[in-house]
Amino acid sequence: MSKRGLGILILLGALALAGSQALIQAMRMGRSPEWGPLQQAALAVAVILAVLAIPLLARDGRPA
Amino acid sequence: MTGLPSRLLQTVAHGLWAAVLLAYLAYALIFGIYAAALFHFSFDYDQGEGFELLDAIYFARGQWPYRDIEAYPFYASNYPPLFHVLAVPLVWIFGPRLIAGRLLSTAATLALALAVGLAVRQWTGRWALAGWAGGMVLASNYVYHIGPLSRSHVTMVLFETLAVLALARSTGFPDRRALIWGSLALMAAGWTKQHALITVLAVLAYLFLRDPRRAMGWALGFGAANLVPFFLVNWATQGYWWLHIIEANINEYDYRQAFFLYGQWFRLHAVVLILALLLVLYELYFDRLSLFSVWAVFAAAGGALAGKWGAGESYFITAVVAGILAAARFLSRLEGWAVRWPAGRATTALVVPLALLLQAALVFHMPTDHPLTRPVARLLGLEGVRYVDRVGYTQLGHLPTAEDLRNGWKVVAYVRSAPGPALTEEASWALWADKEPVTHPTQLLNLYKSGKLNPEPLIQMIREQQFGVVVLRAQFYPQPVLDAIGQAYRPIDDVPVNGFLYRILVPRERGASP
Repeated sequence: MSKRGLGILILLGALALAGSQALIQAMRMGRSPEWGPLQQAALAVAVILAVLAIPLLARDGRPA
Repeated sequence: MTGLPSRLLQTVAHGLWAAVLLAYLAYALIFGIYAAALFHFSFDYDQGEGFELLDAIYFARGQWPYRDIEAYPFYASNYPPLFHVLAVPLVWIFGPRLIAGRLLSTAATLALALAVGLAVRQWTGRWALAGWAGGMVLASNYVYHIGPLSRSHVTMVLFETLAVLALARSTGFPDRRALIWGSLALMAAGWTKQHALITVLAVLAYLFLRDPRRAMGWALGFGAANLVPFFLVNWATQGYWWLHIIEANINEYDYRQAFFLYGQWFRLHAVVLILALLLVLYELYFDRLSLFSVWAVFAAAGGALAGKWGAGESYFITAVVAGILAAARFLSRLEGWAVRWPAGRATTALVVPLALLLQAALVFHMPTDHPLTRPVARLLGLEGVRYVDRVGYTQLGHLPTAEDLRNGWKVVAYVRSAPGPALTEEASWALWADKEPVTHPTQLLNLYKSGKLNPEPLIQMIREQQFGVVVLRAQFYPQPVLDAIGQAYRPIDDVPVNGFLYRILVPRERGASP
């Protein structure tokens, strides 16, 4: 697998993680508008993963 | 270290490395002191140790420990069998005593340190770095606490480590020989404890990076090789394997516990973890990702499972060992880069051993009441404290005293003199009294909380006062069981053993109010 492929995989993982938390939050709406500590931690991990993935997206053909 | 700009610098660097080796040798000695003290302590030191021994006893009798927990003796195991099967010959030698499990786990811990040290020696050709890496395994507070106990966890980590070392021998997709040995070691890890799943996922991710098509083929083969015996054991135990190994381990999750342990893990192993992180980042952007980087990332993420009820610091041991291997790999690379210019050589020659000495200070722990450690404790002004540990409060790590041993025999005397079976919250009391250990409290509680246990048969026996004595410690039984004990039994003594208060209860007189 290339570095770029790995970058795309990490980015998709980060999006899935953030998306799942947003979905959970949407389902909880009306009961608790605040994001829980575990959700906040998951969101922070998603942001870190996305930031780490971005430099890998360059098409340079290097293997991961 | 050869080729340093000045003789003085070279002498200082050698001195620092000698201090590093001395510090980690001291931790190995402390580990040995603790292990030897536990070999002489006949009773449960940590909750659940006796049950892992009991599993080995069941296997020695040719019986499965995955059984109907609603029927007498209300016992079932929640761990896979490999550690307990390996302990069977030791049970034959030592009898049904905790030393069987403790010897096995201590040997596994020492083998783990040796494997890590030899692997680092092979990469770097340097005995000093290898000595640090092996010593760091024993110096980690988590490994120290759990390694000499009759517990399966460190044996699982040993198999995980052997698997990773076998699979990482070449930089490309592992060859056939490496795949076979690596997969067998990985399988052994999974059949020792379920937590090895994290390392299986790390290996799969690494193989996928190298060759996605062949990785999928490996996953299918490895899955089949494990699922076939899995379902065979389930069939042989009439489904109790699934109930006790899988369903009983799905417990409530406390994120605060996970967050706390993540903080503690980082605080204790900061130097190792920063070096490991540097390797991951370097390989992510400037080189190919090695299995060590991938394993370190997965193992760190797997630490999140420590938030489960009943989990704890042991869930980070895989992450500690993966971190040590990644850190040693980064240090060997760093020294390789530094060799190109004199200033770099001089800096690494001084900074690396200083960082490793800082790491030694971060994991500081020491029992202060042993003849070998007492002078050090006096020197450090730690007299009057039985045990110091950078973890802070911990139930593990101190040395049991002669009074603990005396009081332990007092509890055994209560159990032995009581008529009929004894309901003891830990197995070793019953084993020493030559009685069948009855109940597995945490397993009963887990199943009760998930609605998969009918506690009535046990409650009925308690109401009928069929147990001659009850010994409680943490009172981890389901609430209705504790209520029934309170109604049918009365406390007669509280015996302090090893920092815990054991409550001894005997049947109330019929008609007497609770």
